[in-house]
Amino acid sequence: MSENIILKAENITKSFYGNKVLDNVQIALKPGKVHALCGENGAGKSTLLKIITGLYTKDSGSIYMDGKEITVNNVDDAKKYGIHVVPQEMQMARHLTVAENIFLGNPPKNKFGFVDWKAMNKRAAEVKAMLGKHGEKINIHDVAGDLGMGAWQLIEIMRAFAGETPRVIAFDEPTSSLSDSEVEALFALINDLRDRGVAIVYVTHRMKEIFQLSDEISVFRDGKYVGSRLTAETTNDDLVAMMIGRGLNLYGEKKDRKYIQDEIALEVKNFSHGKDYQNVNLYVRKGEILGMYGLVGAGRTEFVRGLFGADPKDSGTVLVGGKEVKINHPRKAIKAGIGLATENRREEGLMLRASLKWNLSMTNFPAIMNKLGLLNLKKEKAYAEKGMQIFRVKATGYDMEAGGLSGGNQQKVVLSKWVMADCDVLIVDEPTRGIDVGAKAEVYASLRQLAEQGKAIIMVSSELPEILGVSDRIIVMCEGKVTAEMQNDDLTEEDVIKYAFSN
Amino acid sequence: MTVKNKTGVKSITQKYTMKQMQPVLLLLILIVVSLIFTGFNKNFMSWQNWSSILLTACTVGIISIGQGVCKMADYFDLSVGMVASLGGLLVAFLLQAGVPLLIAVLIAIIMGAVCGLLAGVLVAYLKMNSFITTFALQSAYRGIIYIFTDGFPISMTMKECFVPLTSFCQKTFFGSVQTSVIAMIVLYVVVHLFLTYTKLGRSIFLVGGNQKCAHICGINVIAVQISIFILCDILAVLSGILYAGRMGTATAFLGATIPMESIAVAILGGTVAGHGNMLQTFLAVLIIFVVKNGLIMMGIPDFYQYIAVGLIMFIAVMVQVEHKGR
Repeated sequence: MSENIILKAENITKSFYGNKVLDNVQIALKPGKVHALCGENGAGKSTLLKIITGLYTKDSGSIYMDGKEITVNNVDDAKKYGIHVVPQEMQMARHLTVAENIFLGNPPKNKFGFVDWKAMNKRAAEVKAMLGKHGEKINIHDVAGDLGMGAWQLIEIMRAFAGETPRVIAFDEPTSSLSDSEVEALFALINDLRDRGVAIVYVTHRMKEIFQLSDEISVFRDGKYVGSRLTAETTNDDLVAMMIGRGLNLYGEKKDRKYIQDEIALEVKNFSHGKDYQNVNLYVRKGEILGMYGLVGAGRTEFVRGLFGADPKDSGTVLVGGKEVKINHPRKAIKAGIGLATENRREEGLMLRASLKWNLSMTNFPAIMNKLGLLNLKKEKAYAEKGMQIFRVKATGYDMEAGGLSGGNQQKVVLSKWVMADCDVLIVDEPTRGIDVGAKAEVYASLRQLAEQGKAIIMVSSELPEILGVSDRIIVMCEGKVTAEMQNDDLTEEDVIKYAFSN
Repeated sequence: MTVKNKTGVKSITQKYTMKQMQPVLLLLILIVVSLIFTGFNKNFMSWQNWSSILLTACTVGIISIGQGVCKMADYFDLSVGMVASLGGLLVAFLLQAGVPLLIAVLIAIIMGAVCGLLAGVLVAYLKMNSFITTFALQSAYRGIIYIFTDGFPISMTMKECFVPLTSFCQKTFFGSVQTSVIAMIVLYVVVHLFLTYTKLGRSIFLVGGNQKCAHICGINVIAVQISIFILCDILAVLSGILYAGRMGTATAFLGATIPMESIAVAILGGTVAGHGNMLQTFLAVLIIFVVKNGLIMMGIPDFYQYIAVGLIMFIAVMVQVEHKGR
């Protein structure tokens, strides 16, 4: 088995400011195999990937290529050995053409030292031809900014083919920003690369993809190497157990509806905004979790943002506790007792560079003010302390920056800040996007805890298992309209998904 | 990740973040630089010399407060110099016309607020780039000043009507500390308290840190952004009035170097979007003016000061970059 290994990394250790993020980990890649790296956020899989591909330098340990030890200090070193990465955040010069992007930083030059455009376009066409049918959709003269994420990934892969023959290509969460059809195309391409003998490293949070794509799996937990398995011999539950170190009931106990009250907490009538959503009507009771399902672009996010006053709407009325309220700014929504945990936690949900204390108190200044209307910093500390206990946020203290928390804990802080603002209705948009399975379970438990306390919750999600596992009642949206509403009693995925597609 | 090390031994970099270390670092730089200059010239450490450093620092010093607040929200205000000149000239003009000092100052402050409102509306509401917008505004203000003054300064010496202003500004306390210096220190303290203990002050940090998040959390982002420019330009006006009273002349030439110097102070003080504080900004002002003063005392020609200030900024930015990424 060992003679068949292209790249091997052993005893890799890496610390950031004294925090060991990788502790003696290993990985061995074989040609023509897709190797999935799994683990929760902060498990170290991305860091390992970055060390292999030269983005970070290791503190100790060795990397071997074809049995010989190599030094990889930067991305160029890695490229020399045919090691490439398709990063999650792709770097693209938006105003340049595909060909220029492929040879970015290292364009072919003529004898005067100027860029040889003819040669560049010729070689770009050759690179494109190497990808065969996968490259057909792309025109090397197109401007990168006009193309989608799927095309950008193709450009990243073409970069790999522009120099030495690629031997290892690493993908970091490649599907997180792709549409379904783009994902399909990407998988076809990865399978093709595998058949050509390239060793693929694949990092993802999506269990489905791991089983769909990979040959081998290596699991990391808390910066340590847990073990490797052949995918064919591993089940979903095995993998989850390896990742979190114990068995897990993701969605918690079977729903007990006795805490749902008759009183309607929030009612929305005739909500419309242009093409985004039309004539949406819904209500949610106290203690109820209402799931809003729909495909990306169905108008769910736009609707809840309109409801919250974050974006403008054309028409519609909102009744909170039976009384009509006018909401044209988030401030009004908060006053009415509505909170919104947005889908993009890192961009809108949190102040990443600010302390947890500031993050928690920013929705509810009156609570930390004294009689003169000035901020009472002592009160704020107590407020933050209380806020962090609601869902037991794991942090060194309320002075810690929010950006230093794991995804799950960040989401808990977002939820806490709305709970602390005395919101009776909590809207959560894609609450578990980009967080790992262990943290997901905690977020679900948190939502349930809130419902039991009598909060009304609207959960927007495009993950069907999550909708079915957590919500009491389900509303399906399709192309801006509500297409179905049903009690979540023994529903199957088919029952729900059929309403999400237009005829 | 940080949680795991809770019980373990922490290194200094873990125990104290860059944020906490920054004022200490600036203070150290200030002390080291001062000691070096004292080595060259014993008079450097005299009370006399320090009050003179503070006096030369106070025009830029007061404006740097506002510039720092702008920088916290990721904005620049290049019009501060011309607004300061406008403030000084307007007060001089009003005094000449027989308006009492207090009312003249009030009118000038209102004018500063209007300038700030204009910049704020253009930048926050119309989403124009702050650098370019305020650059254009300062050019327009300069034009207005030249039209009304024909390019001549208003001299305040030997004229009865200016006495209230000049005598107020040239008053000294504790032997050799002038009004402007006291005003600068008071303004630093007041703005520090404003940033720490008011909702608007906190909102400035929040809007600077993440506009979108602030919006979702109910903060009126545009109002906060506009008030930043209003604050900045009012401080500029105050600085301009104090300068005019101290020098006995109101001039348009005040505005030439001030914007860049105040930006240099804000950067050296470690102010970035969402972060910054008045103590650091004050230390940064002192460092820059201590270096200028020290070089003069060593008999080094003026022009080299600019290079020295450039070097300090360069080092400051380098230290920050080093600690920002991992």
